[in-house]
Amino acid sequence: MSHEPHKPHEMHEPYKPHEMLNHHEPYEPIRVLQLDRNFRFEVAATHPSAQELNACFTCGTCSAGCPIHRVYPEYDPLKMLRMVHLGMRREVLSSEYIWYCATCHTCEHRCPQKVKFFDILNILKNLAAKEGYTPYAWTNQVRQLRQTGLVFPTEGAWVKIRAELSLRPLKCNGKNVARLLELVGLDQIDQIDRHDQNNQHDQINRPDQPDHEANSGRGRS
Amino acid sequence: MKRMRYVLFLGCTTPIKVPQYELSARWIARRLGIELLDLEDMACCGSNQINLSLDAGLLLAGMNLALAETQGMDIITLCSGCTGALTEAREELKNEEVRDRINRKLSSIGLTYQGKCRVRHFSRVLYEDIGPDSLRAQVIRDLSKLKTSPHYGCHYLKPKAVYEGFDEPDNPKTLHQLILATGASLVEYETLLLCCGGKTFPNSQDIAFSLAGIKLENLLNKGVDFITLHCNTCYVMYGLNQPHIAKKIGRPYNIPVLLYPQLLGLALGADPVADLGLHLNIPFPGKLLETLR
Repeated sequence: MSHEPHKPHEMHEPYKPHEMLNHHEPYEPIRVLQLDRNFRFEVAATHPSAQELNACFTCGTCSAGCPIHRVYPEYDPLKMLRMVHLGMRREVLSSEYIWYCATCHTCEHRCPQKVKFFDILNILKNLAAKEGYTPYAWTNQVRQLRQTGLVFPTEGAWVKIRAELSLRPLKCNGKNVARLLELVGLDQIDQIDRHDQNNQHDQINRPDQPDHEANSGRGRS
Repeated sequence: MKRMRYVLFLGCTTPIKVPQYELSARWIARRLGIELLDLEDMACCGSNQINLSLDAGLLLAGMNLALAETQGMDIITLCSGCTGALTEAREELKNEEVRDRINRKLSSIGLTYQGKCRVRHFSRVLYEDIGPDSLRAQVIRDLSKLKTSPHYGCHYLKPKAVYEGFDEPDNPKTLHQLILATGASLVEYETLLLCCGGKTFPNSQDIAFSLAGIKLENLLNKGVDFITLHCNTCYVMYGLNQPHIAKKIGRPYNIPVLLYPQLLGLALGADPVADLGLHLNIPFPGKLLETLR
């Protein structure tokens, strides 16, 4: 008796985890043996704020209160936390989603188990940054900071506006800031951009541009 | 009466993108006898740098705290984000081990943080040190015909643990009372607690605009004359970006956005343009300026 090869993807709507992670990466099934079972311990040991990571009982209050989840359901704190629990290290750290947090603190404010998702997410972003996944908007801010100590250039149309309002000129010591950033290795991080070089928006934060473009970084997709 | 002296922490966005906030806050401070000291080396608060390195955030905040400490003064802030970054860092630096680690690095630029300097938002200082009743007693311009709704900004309220029980994140009242003190009419609305999305904006415009649009839609339906807020990031989202959000969503918002010191300044008799910089606000509050004339 001959068997037709089993083709689950023809029988069901295919499950596409890559759509929940990076839109660009080809879909590959997750193999249990390739998961990093120590990932949750690695994250929990990084910072005291992450210690409650394993206290999560998956109630989903974090996602229910998350404003980003509300407008963009694919961004899902509970799902990200579960992925950390499961050891999906590569998938989590390479995900664009970890950078979409609005930092509103609602998740940790409402969590009944005192899991500080906001802090855990920062740790994930720190780890991702070390592996070269930092989005351009943030690496560019570091570049700017090292020059002026502020996240904007110190010249531009706004200098005149301040003068007209009789506000004092801004003076900041970029050298001190550059020194401090060097001590935590951020002088290296700003060499690496997550995204391809051709697609960079160099007008970021340039004050003589309309604000919308000037401040925007890159949009999704 | 206690002498009110503070180091003014401007941050990055206020002086560059929202100078009218600084202008009006300085006017209010002069009017109410709050002395503001400017320190040249104050830098970024570090709120975005925690994304890349938690220690970078602690170092930047620690540097600013240490600088204020050299003057023996507390910090007053205009931005909710800066308030949060500095206050959270201050909380973390209470731990001796962490403070030593950070101080070892700070010593390379000749600074040490001892853990004394306190940080409070401008509105919090108005609320706690002067108080809504005292403000109300000084009102000389009638604003009772103006309808406005408050927006708090997340970091003004959360994390609750670092703010010493100042306000209630789930049911905040301080900005409500500060607005009522000016004599303006308060309009309650459903999405009061919603975040502006300002920190998502650099990484995804679409998401940030969709989020900000929810509150703008709510306030459009309430028919408020303007929004009152006290954070430059929130102002960038609801004010500067409002024309782009309106275009993206296809709604005619055109709701002016006032920084709280501008509203208070109006009530205290300031010149709307010269003292408060209302002409710089986006969307342009033309109707409001007309009614004040």
